[in-house]
Formats: sequence, structure tokens, C-alpha cells
Amino acid sequence: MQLTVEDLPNGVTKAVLVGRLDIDGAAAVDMRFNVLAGAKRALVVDLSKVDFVASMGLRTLMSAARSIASKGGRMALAGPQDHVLKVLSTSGVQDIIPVRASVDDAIAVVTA
Amino acid sequence: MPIRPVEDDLRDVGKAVAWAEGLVAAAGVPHALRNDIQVCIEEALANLIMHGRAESAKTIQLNVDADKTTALIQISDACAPFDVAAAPLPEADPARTGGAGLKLLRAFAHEVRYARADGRNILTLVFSTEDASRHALDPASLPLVRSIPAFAEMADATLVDLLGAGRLRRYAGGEKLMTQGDPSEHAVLLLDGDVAVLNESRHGAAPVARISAPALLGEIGALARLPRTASIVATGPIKVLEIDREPLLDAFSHAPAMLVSVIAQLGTQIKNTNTALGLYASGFAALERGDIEAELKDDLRNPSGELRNFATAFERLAQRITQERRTRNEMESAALIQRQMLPLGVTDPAGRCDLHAEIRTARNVGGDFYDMIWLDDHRLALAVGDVCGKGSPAALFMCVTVTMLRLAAREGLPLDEMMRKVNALLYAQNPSCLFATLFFGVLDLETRTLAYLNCGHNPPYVLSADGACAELASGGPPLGVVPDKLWPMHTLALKLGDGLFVFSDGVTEAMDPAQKEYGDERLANLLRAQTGWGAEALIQTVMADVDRFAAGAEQADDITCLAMVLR
Repeated sequence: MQLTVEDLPNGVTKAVLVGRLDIDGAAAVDMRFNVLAGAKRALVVDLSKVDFVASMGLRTLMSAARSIASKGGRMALAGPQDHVLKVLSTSGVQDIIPVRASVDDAIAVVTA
Repeated sequence: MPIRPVEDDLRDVGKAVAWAEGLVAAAGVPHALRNDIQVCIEEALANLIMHGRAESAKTIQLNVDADKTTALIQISDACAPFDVAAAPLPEADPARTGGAGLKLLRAFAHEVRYARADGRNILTLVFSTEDASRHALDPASLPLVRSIPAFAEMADATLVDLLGAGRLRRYAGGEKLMTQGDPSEHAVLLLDGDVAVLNESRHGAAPVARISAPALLGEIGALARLPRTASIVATGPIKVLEIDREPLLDAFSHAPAMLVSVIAQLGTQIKNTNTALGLYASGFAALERGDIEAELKDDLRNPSGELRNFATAFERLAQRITQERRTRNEMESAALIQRQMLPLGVTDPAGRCDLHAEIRTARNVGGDFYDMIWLDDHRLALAVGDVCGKGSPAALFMCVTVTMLRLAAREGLPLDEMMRKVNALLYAQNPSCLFATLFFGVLDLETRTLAYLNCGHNPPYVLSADGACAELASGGPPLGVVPDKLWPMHTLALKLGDGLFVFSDGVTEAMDPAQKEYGDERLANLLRAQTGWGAEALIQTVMADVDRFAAGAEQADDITCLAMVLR
């Protein structure tokens, strides 16, 4: 599991996750993701290269979203593959963290 | 069904998921389903590792069985009971970050079943490309269903409606579809695979039949609202259609012929049961006799027609009969060996003593033996022993012991040296670790002295002409236990009219019906009262008293007596 971070204009930060966000994947990025969520106020997570997610990975995303929300910031998920989207919707995460098809749409959500 | 143990460590989950994914992918399960399978396995394993409580090791196991259309995943563990299929879902709570696992698992798996057996939780997850909510029998499978007598005459439309009301289910090998005594909620149409019918009683579960697809099961119970008359367990992966009572009744109202067929089926089943009971009865009678006619064996081995369902049970009975017969033959030949080794009718031609010995073998050959051999014209060797164990090995060990004693006794060594040598030889060639207790004495009829030693045998009695009865010295280990041993040798001076009574523990340990032992005291008292009797009368008195005491209780061990009276 790889995590790359890129600062975009308008104070938006893009985090790109690549690989499997399974138990091992979540353990690998958890710490950096938490630090990121603690420091940023507008975060877009690009999931397009995430091949797998289950509840342990959702926990990483949920705890980041909660941390940002507690500071009045916003986080959105972008471009999940169909089977990843299925996990996001079935678990109810989609109802709590906005999910958009593209990074641009997600940026629009966090800068609104 | 491939099985993989899973460590109680979150770091093993990814590897376990990858292992399962490899199997499922190789079986040709489509990609979309495979992602769901991986999610469910991760959730189930993570839940067990994080929340499962076990007193000792959790011993988590992952089983995978897949073909192109279906994957059966089983996860079992030794944790405290937790019903994944029925546990309440945590309420959706934005503040919470966990709790989604169970929800995902129940949403993604097409069937989620929980069972508890042998102290383990067994979770079965079924994934299928066929939609379980809709009857997924393509028209091509209608002929298969029609081969079941109840459906043979049914109109197409009625049959399609009936099947459409069913729920398609898949079970992994070992899963129970029906439990004896449970209410009959539905009938089961077995579409693919084999099941075992089990009769469960307090004596355990006995397989009574094996049934292959296509077959209709449990329909009479479902129609008549009877409890399940037997349990049904999948013997491998199976596919079934569960049909509830209502649609079943509905179909009957449209197709009375089906009712007739079910009644006919019931009649056939009663007939089969009677025939099977008859065969069983004959089988058990044969078992009791220890003999089986070729014809009966053929019937058991190759049951005809519907009785084929009972084939496994019959086969076991036939095997048991054959095995019993073999054991009996072995026992009989062992008994023969034992009998032929023992001398009969040994007497003193010079009339200096009266001799008698008797052995009464228990049902399963024991290892008792006695011996009386003349070493020269006035020295007589007397022996009574007991080889531990039963059957052929004990009988053979007995033969070796008796033979060695006979050879060694003629070498003219002192008694203790002679026994040391016999023991060393027995010890050296004793792969089964058998041993023998032994009383061995040499009676010199010129000097009327008895030289003897005792290798762990119960001490014989010496009977004085004046009515006293005393135990001879005992002690020391049995033969064949230690590599080198010198047993203490004793000498006893005897008088005219004195007797010697040597016996095995089968006498004193004979049981009455209340499991009480005959005992040394009763024997000693009996012997005291027999002053002046001959050797044979002495033994017959003891045997008769043991019989009186046992009062019909089965003889558990060989009973051996050897008596000598000087005259």
C-alpha cells in the first residue's frame, strides 16, 4: 500500500492511495494518514488505484474524516472502482464521507 | 476441501485471504464475486482474532471449496459461541469507526450459516453466480427433476411454479440440512451431490442411508407437520432447492398424482425398512453364531434396489461379521496351541504322589499354563504361570516360556541359575513386552523336599496332613521384565500326606454377579477342610466352589489349578 500526498491550490490536499487497503495496507498507512488528517482542512483521497477495501481499511478512512470534521474541515473520496464503491455503500461509509467519481468532483465538494 | 490453519494474528489474515483467492480464482469464479469473498473472509477472520474469546488456542481454520459458479467458504474456531448469522448488527453510528464488518459479511455472502459442533463455531459462507432469490433451474434441468417419482406426472406449469417458490441453497460437506426432531418447515429437493441420512439417538448418530441427487427429502414431514424423523448431512458440496409447505400443498392440489406417488413412496420406504431390519437381524444372528452364509454376505455387500441407500451400514455389518469370525478363529487356534502345550494325565509310576492339574480357559484366550515334567525317575518339575495379555501373542509367549523351562530344567543347573537364564532369554526376545508370572518347583520324591522359586506369581498353599494350610514364599518380578535377575530359591521339607496346591489368580479373582472377588481367605478355608483328599478331588472341590460363588457371572480370566499330594 502506497500513499503519496500532493498539495493543490486553494488549500486542498490530495492523497493518492495505491494497492490493497486490507488489514496489512491499513496498518501500513494508518499513522501517516492520521498525521495528514490532523494537519489538513480539505482532503481529497484518490481511491482509483485501490484494489481492495474492507472494514479495517474503512476504519482508516473514517477516523481521518472524523478528525478533519472535528476541526471544521472536509474530506471526500474520489474515483473508487465498482467493487470498492460497493463496500463503501454497503457499509454506510458513503453516507458519512462524500464519494465522487472524479478527483475534480471531490475537490468541488471539499472547497464548497 | 482445502484447509488452511489461520494464526491468531492479524498479520496472517492477508496471507489467508490471498490463499483463498488463489483457490477461488483457479476454480474460475468471476472477479466480482471474488472481491466479495475476500472482503467476507477478512471480516470474519479479523472479527475472530480481535473479539473471539477462547480458553486455550482458537485454532482457526479456513476451508475453501469452489467451482465455476459457486464458492463455499467455511471458517471454524474454538472460541466461545458466537452466531455470526444471527448476532445483532451494531447501529449505524457516524461517531463509530468500527462495526461495519458484520454488516459487510452478511450483505456480501449469499448464504450465511452458523453451526456449533464439537466445541467449535462453524461459519459457512456461500457465494454463487446464480441468483438465490429466484429459482435458478434452467429448463434443461427439468428432466432431472422429473426423474423423481413425485414429479414425474406433474404438469410443466405446476412444476415450474413449485420450483419457482423454492430457495436455492448450497451446503458444504459436513453441514446439517435437517436435524432429527426439529419441526419440518420445508421439503428439500436435492439437485446435486450426496447426503447421508443419520438416525440420532442417545447411543450416537448412526448412518442409515446415503442418497444421491436427484431426490426429494423431508416432504412427508413438511406436508404432515411432523418433526424430522432423521438428520440429513451433506457428504460433500451439494445444491438443493428448499420448498416450503404452502407451495408444496398448492402443487398437490393441482396434481393429485403427486399425492399418490408420495403415498407409494411411503409404502416402499416401509417395505425397505422391513427388509433392511430383516437383513440386520440375520446379520446380527450371524454375528452371534460367528458364522455367515455366503448368500447373506452377498445381500449385505450388494443390497438390491432401494436398499442400496443402506449400503454403507450393511457393509460395516458384513465387515464386522468377517472380522469377528477371523478373531474367533485366531482365538480358537490360540486356545488349541495352549491346550496342546499342557501335559495331560501325568502320574507317578512308583505311586509316591498323586498328581492332577486342570485349566479352564475364559472366553477370550488367556495366558495361563501349567507343566509337570519328570527330570529323572525321582525328580518332578511343577510349574504354574500366567502370561499377561490375551490372544495369539500371549499364547505364543506361553509356548516359548514353557519350552525354555523344559529345556533349561534338564540342564542340571541350580534352580535360581536356571531361572536367571530363562529370564534373560525371554527378556532378549520380547518385542511385545509380554511377561509371565511363574511358580516353579522341583519335587524330590526320595528326600520329599520341594525346591522352588516364585516369579511374581500368587503364592501356592502347602497343605499339611494335620489340616494346616500355609502360603509358600512369594516375591520377585515376573519373567521377562528385567534383563538380569536372580530369584531367591526356597526349600521346603514335606511329610507323607502333605499336599501342594498351586493356582492362578483366576481362582481368587473370580467375581460374583455383584463384582465381589472370591478371595484368598475363602480358598484357604476350603483347602483346610479337605485333609486327606486326592489331588483330583481337591481341584474339583475348588472349581465347584468357585462356580457356586460366581453364580453364573461370566468367567473373566483363565482358572488353573495344580495339586500334588504325597502318599
